[in-house]
Amino acid sequence: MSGCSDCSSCSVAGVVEIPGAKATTTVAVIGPPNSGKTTLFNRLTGLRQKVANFPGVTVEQHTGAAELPDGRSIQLIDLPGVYSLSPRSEDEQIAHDVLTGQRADTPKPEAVLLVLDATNLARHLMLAAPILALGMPTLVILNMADDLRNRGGRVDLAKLSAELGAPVALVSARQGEGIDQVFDLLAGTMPKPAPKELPILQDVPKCRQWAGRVGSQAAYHAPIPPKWTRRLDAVFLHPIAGPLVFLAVVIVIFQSIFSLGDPSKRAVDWLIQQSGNWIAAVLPASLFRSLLIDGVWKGVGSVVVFLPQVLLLFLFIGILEDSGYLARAALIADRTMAKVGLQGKSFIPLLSAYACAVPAILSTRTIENKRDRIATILIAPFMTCSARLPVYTLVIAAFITKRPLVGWLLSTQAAAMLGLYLLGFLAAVVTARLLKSSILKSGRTPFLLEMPSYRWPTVQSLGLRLLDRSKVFLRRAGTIILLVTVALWVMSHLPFENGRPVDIEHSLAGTVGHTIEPVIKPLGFNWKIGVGLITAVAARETIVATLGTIYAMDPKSQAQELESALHHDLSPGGAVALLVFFAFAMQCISTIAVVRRETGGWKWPAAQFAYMTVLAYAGAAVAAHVIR
Amino acid sequence: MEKICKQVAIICIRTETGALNLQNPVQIGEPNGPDGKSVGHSVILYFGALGGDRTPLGSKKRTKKPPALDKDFGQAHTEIKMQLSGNYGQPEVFSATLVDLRRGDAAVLDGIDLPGEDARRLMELGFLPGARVTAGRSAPGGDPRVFQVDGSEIALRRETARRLRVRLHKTSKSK
Repeated sequence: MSGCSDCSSCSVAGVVEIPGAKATTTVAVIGPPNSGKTTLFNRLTGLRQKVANFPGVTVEQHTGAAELPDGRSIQLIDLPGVYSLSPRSEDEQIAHDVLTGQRADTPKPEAVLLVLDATNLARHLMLAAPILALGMPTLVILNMADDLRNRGGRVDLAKLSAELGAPVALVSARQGEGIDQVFDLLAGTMPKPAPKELPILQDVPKCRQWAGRVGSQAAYHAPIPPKWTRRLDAVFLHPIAGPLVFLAVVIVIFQSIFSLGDPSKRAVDWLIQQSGNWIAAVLPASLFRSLLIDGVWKGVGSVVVFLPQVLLLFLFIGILEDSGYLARAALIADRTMAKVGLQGKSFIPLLSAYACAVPAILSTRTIENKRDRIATILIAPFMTCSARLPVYTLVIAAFITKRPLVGWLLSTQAAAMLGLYLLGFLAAVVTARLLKSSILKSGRTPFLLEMPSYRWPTVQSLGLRLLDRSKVFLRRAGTIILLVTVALWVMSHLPFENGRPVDIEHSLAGTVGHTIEPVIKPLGFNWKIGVGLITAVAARETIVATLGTIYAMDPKSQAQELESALHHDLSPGGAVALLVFFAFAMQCISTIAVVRRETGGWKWPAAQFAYMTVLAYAGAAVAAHVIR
Repeated sequence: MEKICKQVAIICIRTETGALNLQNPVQIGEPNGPDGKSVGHSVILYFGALGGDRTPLGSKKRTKKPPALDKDFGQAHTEIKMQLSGNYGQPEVFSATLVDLRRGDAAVLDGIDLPGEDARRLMELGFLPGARVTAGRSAPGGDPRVFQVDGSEIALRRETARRLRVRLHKTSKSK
C-alpha cells in the first residue's frame, strides 16, 4: 500500500497524523496472548470473532472496519498474541509477518494498537520495546481496567505516556469502558513513538529491566493477586477434589444434553412436524410437495431438531472457556498427554475439537514443534465433534431405554454418550502414541501454559457464541445437507417407469445402496444405512437427513417416526456398529480441506482419511460380531 | 549498590558422553546476591556430563523420592560439585532446581539450562535470572506444577522445571 512511504517520511516529524484522507488506514491490533485483543477488536468493529479466557484463541489475522466518530473508517487487523517479535510458532509468525508487511494478503499496517494487560503491566511492557522500535505510530491500550481497579492496582497514564512517547488509554474492552477514548485517539493524532531510550531488543533481561523501570516511573502499582482465583484453584487443582470436579463437570454436561436438551428438541420437532403437516394440507399432491415434505422437511428437518442439544453443548464449552477453567483442565489432563508423547499445548486444540475439528486444526498453529502439530492435526477428528451429536443422540435414543444409572446424576443414555466420547478419545490417544513413537517422533519442547485468572463469563459473550453456532448449524443444514437431501430425493425418484417414479428400493439411490450392501453387510447395515454412509462423507449429520428422507419415502416406514423406523431397520449389534463407525470415520469434507491447507498437501489428509476409514470399518465389524 | 565480592570462580568441566568438552571452562564473575550485596569468595568446581538432570549432590536430602531420572532424558550422568571456600556473612545458599520446590516455597532463579530459543521463551514469560519464583499448585501427582513468577502463573512440566536452577536459602527450606 502507498501508506508505507508516508510512514517513512513522517518519521522525521515529531507528530504524525494518521493519513485519513486516503481510502482506508490499516491499524494492527497486537499484544501478548490473552490480553484481550480480540475483545477490543470486536468492540471497535462490531464484529464477533471468537474470544475465550485462555492464551492462543486467535490464530490467524482477521480484518474489520471501525467507524471513527468523524465518519472516517479505518481497517483494523486483529493478530494472534505474541510475547515478542521473535516468532516461534505459526500463529506468532503470522503476527510478525503482518506487522512487518511481509504478507501478500494483508496490507502493511500504518499504525499499531498495542494491547497490554493492565493487571500485569510490568511484564507486558516488555513487548512495548520491540513494537515501539518498529517506528510506527503506536497507541498503547491498557486493557482490563476493571480488574486493575477491583484488585487495588493503579497506574499514572500521563507519566506512562511520557515514558513511552505514545498515547496511552486505560480501557476495559469487556465492559466497554474507555472505548470512546480509543476512538478519539484513533481519530486524532498519534505522536511519533519517541521513548527516551529503548533497550537492546535481543536481550530479554534488559527488556524486562527497561519495562520495570518504565512501570515504576509511571507509578505502576501492581494489583494484588486475584483472591478468587486462588480460592477456586484450591478446589479445582486439589489433588483429590480436582479430578473429581473434572469428572463431575463432564458428567453434568452429558446428562444435561439429554435431560435438558430433550424437551427443547421435542418442541422443535413438534414445530417442524406441524409446519410440515400444514404444507402437506395446503399444497396439492405433486412431485413438488413430495420434494418439500419428504426431502426438505423430513430430511433437513430431522437434523435441525438437534439444534437445541448442539447449542447446549456449546453453552457449556463457552462457560468452560470464558471462565478460565479450560486451562486448569488442560493442566489436569497433561499427564495423559505426556504419556502418549504429546505436549500439553495439544490439549487445547483437542478440547476445541469437541466442538468442531476445523477450528481445532487451525488452533494447532500455537504448537511450535512441527511434528507435534501434525500429530495433533491427525488425531483431532477422532474427538467427538458436535456434528456427531445428532447421529449419536438419534441412535442412542432409538436403542437404549432411558433408565437412571447413578440416580438422577447419570442415565443410561448419557452414560452411552459418555462412552462414545471416551471411545473417540481413546482412538485419538492410541493413534497419537503410534505416531509419536514412529513417524512423528520428535524432541520435546518445554510445555508452558499460562494460567489465566478466573472471570465470570459474560451473558453477552455466551449469547453471541450461541447465535454464531446457530448460524453455522443452520447454514450447514441449509447448504450442504439441503443439497445432499435434494440430490438424494431426485435419485430416489429416478428412473421413471410409465411416467411414474419407481419405488425407492429400485430407484437410482436404492441401486447405489444395494451395490455397496455386500461391503457393509458384515457391519449389520442394510442398503438404507449404506446410502446414509455415502451421503455422510459430505458431513456427518447428513446421514440423519438421508435416513429421514428415505424413511419418509418408503411406504413401509412412512408413518413411523425416525427413531422407531431405525429401530426396525437395525439390530442392536448393527446400532453399536453404526455408532462405532461414526466415532472413528473421518466423514467431513471441511476437515479434509482444512488438513490439506494446514499441512500443505494431500499426503496427510489422504493417509488420515484412509486410516480412519479402515479403523471405522474394522471397529464396526468387531462390534457387529460381538454384539448380536 | 555495594559489592564487596572479591572473586568467584566457577570452574566448569563437563563431558558430553565420553568426549571431554570444555564448555565454559572457567567463568569468573560477580554473582548478584538476592539483595545485591554479595559478600562471598568462593570457588566452585563443577564436573559433570551433559544429558542427565542437574541435581547437585548434597543439596537434596528428601526422603520422599530419589530424584527420579526422567526416562526421556535418561542418559547417564555424573556430577560432582564442590564448594571450596567462601560464604562468610551470608546464610548458606543451596543450588537446586524448580522441581525441588514444594507448594508455597519460593526461590530465586539462577539460570536456565535449555537451548537458547526455549530459554528465551521462558524468560519472556518472566523466568529471568534473579526473578523470585513461588511454587503453586499442581496437577495430581505433582506434574505439571504452576509457578508464580513476575505477576503471572505459568504451568511447567517436571522435565522443564528441572532445567531451571534456583538458589534456595537454608532458612526458607527448613521452615
